[in-house]
Amino acid sequence: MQKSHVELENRVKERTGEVLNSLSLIRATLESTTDGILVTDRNGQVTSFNEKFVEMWRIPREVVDLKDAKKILEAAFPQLKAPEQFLSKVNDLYAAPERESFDLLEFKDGRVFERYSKAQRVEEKCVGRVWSFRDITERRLNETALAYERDLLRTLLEHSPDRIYFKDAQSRFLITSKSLADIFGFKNPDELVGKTDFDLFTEQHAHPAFEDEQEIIRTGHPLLDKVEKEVGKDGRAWWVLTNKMPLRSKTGTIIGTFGISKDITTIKETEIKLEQMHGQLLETSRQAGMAEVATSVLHNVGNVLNSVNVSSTLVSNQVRKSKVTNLSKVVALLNEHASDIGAFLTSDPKGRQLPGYLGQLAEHLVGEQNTALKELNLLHENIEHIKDIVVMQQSYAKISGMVETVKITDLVEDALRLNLGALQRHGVEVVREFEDVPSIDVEKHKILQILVNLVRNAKYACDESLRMDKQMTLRVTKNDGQVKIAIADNGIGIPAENLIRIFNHGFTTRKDGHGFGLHSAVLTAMELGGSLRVHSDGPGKGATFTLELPYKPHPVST
Amino acid sequence: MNLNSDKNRRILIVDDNQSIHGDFRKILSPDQPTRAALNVTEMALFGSPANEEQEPQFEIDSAYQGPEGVTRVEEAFKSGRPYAMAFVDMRMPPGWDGLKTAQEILGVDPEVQVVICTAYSEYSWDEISEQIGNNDRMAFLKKPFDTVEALRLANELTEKWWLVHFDLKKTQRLALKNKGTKG
Repeated sequence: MQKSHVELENRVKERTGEVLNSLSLIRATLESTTDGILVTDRNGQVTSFNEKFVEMWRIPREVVDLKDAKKILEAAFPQLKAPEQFLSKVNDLYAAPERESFDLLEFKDGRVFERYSKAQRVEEKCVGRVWSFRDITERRLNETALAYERDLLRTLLEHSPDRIYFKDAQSRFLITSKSLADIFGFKNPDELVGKTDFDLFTEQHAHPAFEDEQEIIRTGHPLLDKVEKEVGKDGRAWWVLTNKMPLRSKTGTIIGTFGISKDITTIKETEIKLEQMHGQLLETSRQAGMAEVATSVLHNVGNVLNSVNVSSTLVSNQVRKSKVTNLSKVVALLNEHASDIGAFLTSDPKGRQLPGYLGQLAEHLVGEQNTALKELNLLHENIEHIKDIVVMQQSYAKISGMVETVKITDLVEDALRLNLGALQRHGVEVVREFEDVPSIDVEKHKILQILVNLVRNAKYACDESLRMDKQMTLRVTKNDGQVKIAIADNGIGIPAENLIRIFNHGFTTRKDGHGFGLHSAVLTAMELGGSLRVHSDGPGKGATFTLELPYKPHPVST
Repeated sequence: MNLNSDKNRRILIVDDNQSIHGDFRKILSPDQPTRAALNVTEMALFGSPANEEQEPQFEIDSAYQGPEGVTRVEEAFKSGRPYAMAFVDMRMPPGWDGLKTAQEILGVDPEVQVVICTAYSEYSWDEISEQIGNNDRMAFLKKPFDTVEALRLANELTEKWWLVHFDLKKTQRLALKNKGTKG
């Protein structure tokens, strides 16, 4: 008896140890799970719960300590978006103790819990219910965000007029925008999956595009802003601006490429048209420049011709009306009195006047001769002048586009000569500061046209300033591979706001200007690989135009 | 001669080109001091009247830009020694062109006659008449001009100036007289 009692006691001790052990294990498990867990008996009394449950449901400690499931529910429900609905479900479940149940609980503060509930059994007998709650708020948020992003991407691919494409390492389409499918008549972008550029474009485009993509995959360097002409297999062609980048896996490995090609056909066509128009404009300006030279030549020749005309008429009139014819009358008079010439000259009233008259006549005839000579000289000079003007005009007008070896200083002198009349008339002093510069190979008339323009502008600027000491300085210098021709005047100057506009087509401050001169000059300078710049310290402070031209050292001819 | 000396033979040349002024002077105001003296002696010696055309003698003044020309016309008019006429060049860079100058000149002197000289048609005739209107005090001379043509214009227009001027004076006198008898 004693023995059995001790044995029993030992066994009880052993079992109690086992139970305690098992309980502690359950407890630890209960507390280590991330789910909130509540266990109730069949009467709705709380049998167990873990700390996570309390924390998740934010139930005050004193309520928890009551261990009354009803009280706990009262503290929990108001946090839900639809508490009544949940309550009725809870009641339904108590009525059907065997039932398993799962649902989602949405909280007023935005959290979302998964609820799972299952019967607790002891030896096949239902003794209560286990409720487990899992906070899936973050997961839900991520899912929503992901769905949103997917949605945006789909919108982009669906509606973007730009062609967007993702390709694998073999440059096969993975996903494309609808716009790309549309071009080739595919109803669905999915139909492009697995195809390559070689299926859509001519070899001439597909091949370099493929090479580009393989290069990106090799190097990881994106291809940016490439203007491409794409030609479809059906012969249609268009221009695109393409950007292509490496497509990387999550781990960073390059697994393909993706890119965007924007159709710039309209822009490109406009650009081409603009270029053509610019060319035409250039030509027009050049012609206008030529026309201006021609007009001034015509005017100069016209004026000289006027003097020629006057001189020749004057001389012929003088010869026609010359008093020289009166000599014959004198001879006739002397012949009449040949017999008594002495008496005639001394006592005849007429005869007495004769020697005096002859003296006067001689004097007059000398005067006539001088006048005639003067006019004839003038005539000769003027004809030479016309010849000069014509020769100069010819040498600059006819040789277009012909490269010649010229001395820049000669061209500068020519430009001055073409404006010589005006410069003298307006009293502009010309200062020359010429460095010894090499001869250069240029289209002579083009440079001359620029220089004539600049000299004329400088003259106008001096003229407008109304100052007495009008001066224009022409400076020719050279430095590493460039010849510089600076034309500086001390005229009206240029306000800062006009310094750039002054080269604009149609910009002029002169009433009779047409705004072609400087515009065409700057274009020509650029065309010759040089530049034309302007500097002015402001109104009244003069201006300097500098023409820079590149030159290659001219081989010395032997 | 006496008749001529009474008449207004003052002419203004407005041109930016010095040589054109010389041309006009040679035509309109030839410098031949010895010729007149010879003519007198020749009358006595040979009896026949010297077979001379009437030598033109005009008083020539020069202006080299439009505004300068207008100032001269205005001053002359105000001082009571108006110009009978002006020859104005069409192209006088950088200032006013001939049209503008002519318009201004006609504006400051109600009687002066203007001849515009032009080498080529910078303006069409339509444009000119559109801008100036059909002004009967305006004539044209094409450059390069004949001396005869320039001389004819000078003679005719100074004569015209005289007639119009005389007519105006007479009309004014009559008007004054009428006013006088009425009053």
